[in-house]
Amino acid sequence: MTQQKERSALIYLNNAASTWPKPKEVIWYVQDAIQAPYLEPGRTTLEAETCYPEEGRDELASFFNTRDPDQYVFTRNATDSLNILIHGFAAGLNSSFHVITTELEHNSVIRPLKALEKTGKISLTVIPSDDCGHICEDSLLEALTAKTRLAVINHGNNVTGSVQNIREISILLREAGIFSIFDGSQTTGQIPIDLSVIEVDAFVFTGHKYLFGIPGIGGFFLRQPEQVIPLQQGGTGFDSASFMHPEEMPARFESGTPNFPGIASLTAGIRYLSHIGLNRVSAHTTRMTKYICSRLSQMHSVILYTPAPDTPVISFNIQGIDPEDVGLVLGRVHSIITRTGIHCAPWLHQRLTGGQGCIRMSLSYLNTMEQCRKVCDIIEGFVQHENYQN
Amino acid sequence: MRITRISLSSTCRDGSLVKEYHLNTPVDHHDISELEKTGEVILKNLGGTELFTYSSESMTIKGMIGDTIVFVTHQKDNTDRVELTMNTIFE
Repeated sequence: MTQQKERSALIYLNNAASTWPKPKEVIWYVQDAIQAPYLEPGRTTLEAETCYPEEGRDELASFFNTRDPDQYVFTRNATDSLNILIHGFAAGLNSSFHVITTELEHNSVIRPLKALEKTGKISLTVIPSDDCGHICEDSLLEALTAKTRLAVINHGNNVTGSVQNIREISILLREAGIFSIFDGSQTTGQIPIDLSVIEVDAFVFTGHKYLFGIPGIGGFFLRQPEQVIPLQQGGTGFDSASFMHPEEMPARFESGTPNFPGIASLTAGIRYLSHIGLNRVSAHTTRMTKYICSRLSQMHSVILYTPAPDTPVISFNIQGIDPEDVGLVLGRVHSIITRTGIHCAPWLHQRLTGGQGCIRMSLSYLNTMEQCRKVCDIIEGFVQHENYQN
Repeated sequence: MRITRISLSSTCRDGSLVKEYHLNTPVDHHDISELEKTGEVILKNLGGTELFTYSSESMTIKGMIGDTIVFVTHQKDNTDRVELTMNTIFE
């Protein structure tokens, strides 16, 4: 089978990791960006050429409904953003402090926090979520101590598909004087997020997931930059005679040559979504998610971890069947790409699956109802088969 | 049958390596019979697809009858021995 035929036969349900396929608008814009000379303000400028970083920041400010594009910093991905913010915030405090986080976090949060805990810089409280994957605001308040300075909270979860009430939580944290970082890797591009009315201190996003960009581009919104110490210095294209790295945004956290094709992909992805409208995107993915959840919940041996997820993430197991076997057969025999394992969420999986892992199907706007029907039919075939011995 | 490509798939918590072995022809029941001579083979059926797990002292192999990829797990120290065994089985 040729590569092209193989790709066209795929049913890709691993969008929570990276969306695929990419819209043609994104591919064309990246092609343009690669062909263009790499220009940027302060280094080289031609009037007719696009300044991708500037254009990308404008697009982000509009997308998140904020005024100042310079509050947006480009990074490699959400992991990069979270490390810059967590370690940068910790570097700004001289004494040890207390951090609140949730059991829903990805290793991109768990590992930086655990690294700080190991050095004695922080103590950590991990608050649980309920059966639907939502954290209780009372648990958050109960976890506060006189030494609490930071909260790192998962906005949308990559296993349960649950979305936290970021507006209420951010108000609580602001009132308590706690610096808040929200991980929006799974929500950005899925649901409308208005940072003009949500009181977060920092909000993390990535390009290659639901913004339909390419891998290698992400970023964060930072309301008050002076609260995070930059841990990297280098060339910025201006003030080059100074031996000290500029303090103003966004250069405070950006040095070296930007990822022009990545930024272009992010810009084109946002434009693509804005043209469709996030409400329409959400309506389509919700319809497909409800269909799959409804079918799976009727299969007697299927364990559905979140029967009504807030985002199109469906995690399940089939009783008595190794999830790795299910993923292998779906992928190799039926060309259905899922993600098995613990999804870089060890705390949550310890509670949900006893650390054994499960099968995750995550949809995007570019999946179809026909694909959903086919996948459910195949899983039904697995459930009905009685010759499996584990 | 011959091995066309080997790639590292993941590393387990106990330090063992999981590698993908790509074969030029699909695994068949004759290959399973060969495997049974040197270790234990468990066959399972999932939705009409036959899955197998081979276990010996130094390695495990997981895969499907009719597929051209098998997943091999072994300790790093056993790499040379495993490569020799794989080349012998899938020669």
